[in-house]
Amino acid sequence: MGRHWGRTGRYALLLVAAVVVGFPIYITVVNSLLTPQQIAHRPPTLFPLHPQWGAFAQAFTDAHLGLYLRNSAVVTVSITVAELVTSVLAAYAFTFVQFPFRRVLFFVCLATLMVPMEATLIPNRQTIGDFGWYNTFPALIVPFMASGVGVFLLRQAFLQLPHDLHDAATLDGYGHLRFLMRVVVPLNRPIIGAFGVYAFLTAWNQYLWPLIVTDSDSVRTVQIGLRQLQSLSIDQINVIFAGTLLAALPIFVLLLAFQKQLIRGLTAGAVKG
Amino acid sequence: MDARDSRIGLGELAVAEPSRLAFEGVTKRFGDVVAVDDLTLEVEPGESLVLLGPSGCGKSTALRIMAGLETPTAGVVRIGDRVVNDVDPKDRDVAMVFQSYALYPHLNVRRNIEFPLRSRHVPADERDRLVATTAQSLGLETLLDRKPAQLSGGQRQRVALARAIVRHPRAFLMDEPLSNLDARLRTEMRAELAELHLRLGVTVLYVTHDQVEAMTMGQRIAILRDGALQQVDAPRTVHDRPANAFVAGFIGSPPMNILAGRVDTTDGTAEVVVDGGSIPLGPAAAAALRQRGLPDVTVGVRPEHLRADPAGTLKVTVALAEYLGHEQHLGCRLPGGGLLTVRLPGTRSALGPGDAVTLAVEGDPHLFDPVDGNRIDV
Repeated sequence: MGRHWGRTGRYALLLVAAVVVGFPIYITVVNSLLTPQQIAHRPPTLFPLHPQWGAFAQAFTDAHLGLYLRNSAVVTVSITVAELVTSVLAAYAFTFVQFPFRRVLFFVCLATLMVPMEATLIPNRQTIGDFGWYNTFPALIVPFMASGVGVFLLRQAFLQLPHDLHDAATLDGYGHLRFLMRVVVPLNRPIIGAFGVYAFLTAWNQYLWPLIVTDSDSVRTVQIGLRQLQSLSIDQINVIFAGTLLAALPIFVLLLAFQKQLIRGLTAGAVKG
Repeated sequence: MDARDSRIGLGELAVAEPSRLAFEGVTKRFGDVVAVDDLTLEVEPGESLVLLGPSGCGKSTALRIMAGLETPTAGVVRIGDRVVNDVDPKDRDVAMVFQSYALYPHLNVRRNIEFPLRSRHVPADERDRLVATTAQSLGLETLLDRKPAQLSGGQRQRVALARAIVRHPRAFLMDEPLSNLDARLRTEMRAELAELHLRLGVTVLYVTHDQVEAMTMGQRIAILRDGALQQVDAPRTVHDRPANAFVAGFIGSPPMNILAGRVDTTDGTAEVVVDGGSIPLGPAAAAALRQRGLPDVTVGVRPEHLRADPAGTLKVTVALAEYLGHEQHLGCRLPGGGLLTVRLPGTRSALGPGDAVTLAVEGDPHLFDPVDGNRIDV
């Protein structure tokens, strides 16, 4: 009996949480399908009986959302790929290669996790300026090509591999790179995938950094583009809702596709952190 | 499926010319710890030599030095006539079998076996032929598409062996290959390995901490303690004439009883006075002790050389009786508190805990110098 009530209570709590999280999303969807006049109407409309799809097209024509989405895709994919490559290589070196000051260098790597992004914002902005990268894709990509989190997460995973595998591969004639590609990466695909999703989400949702190193629409990402949407007049408020949905769409898709891997990656981080 | 389903038949397997393996004054230090201490040891071509010792004695380190996975601090390592100190592991042409099997979990049996061939750029058709022959000879042909997780322990071990055999190495290095198997399977795999060695005629350097495995697998046994070689000899010699008290205590199951004693040669006969009584010595042993002029001596008596006999010379109390079916082990308490193991063959004896017994020693005991532990030859 007690178990039954415990379960009911748990589901009630989950239902409340789902409403709290889901309602704003629902309202955004509804409002994107209404005209500005309908949105302003009180009491508010909760069920759009005659959905208007024009706002989505307008987001592309009036608010250049296509350009912003393309920029975001370029930046996010580049950062994700680069971060995966550097993290896998560094984690491998910290696990399987003996070199002087290995421990010290690993702790230096970890130490970068303790420096908040805001603390390095100004000097990094300065460096970008010195390189003449203001308003370019490298300014958005290069600073994020390596990640302390990735190195840490993957090293912990690689440490779980039996060392005998490395010895066996060495005797079988496999060098570091081939052992990495043929054994380490295939065996760690779940955690590498989880980190890839995490890197993608983080890069896609960046706001502050793109804002301070760009001011041209030609390179600005979709999160900044959304900010620009707000400067549209009030009679286009449905376009703002539609644009917000479009900007979040890739994240939705990614979360649905990689839900399991992401949860595994997050819990792995939680246990170790 | 388990190991009994198929036996090794290696008629078709070609094998490279077996090589001699040699350690010449090899030392390995990790910081202040000496893992291998001035080891000089040769494995003859085609021989199966077992490195035996308690855990941490340096036997695995020695094996890894031969494989090239560790670099010796000092000394020379040879494979055949070639000094290999600076040769890469992959160029040493030795194969290693690991305790954990070290199979690649994401590859099926076929890919595991051909893994070393791929790195050597063996053409695909030749590779297929070699894998097929090897798999067949080890009874793995029906398992080629399975992943290691779908195999039993014995099957995994045979895949590991197949991966070692397939490249026709000049020597096999085996690091406790049977330790992860259960007792019954271990006995079966032991026989398979011995048969494999016999058929292939390859050089094998085999590491184990299990003295039964050492006795059955090795043509010679090398016993290590704290990185230093204690004795290298045929299993029978190691058992019957242990070079020192450590080897005596390590070889044999249950282990030899080692007692401290005082030499007494007063009234013409010689005996060693120990806790609980005395152990009589034959004339040769007495002469050897007299010649050395030692007042004290360490004696070793194998449990099977003790029997209950009212005319015996050692008085003990039974503390523990273990019945094993074909024999019985008695743990007997000496008056001073020490424990003496007695191995009684055959049917169950009436002796049980609390019984007072008089024990007689059959034949001469083993004698060791009490200071350095070395054997006193009679």
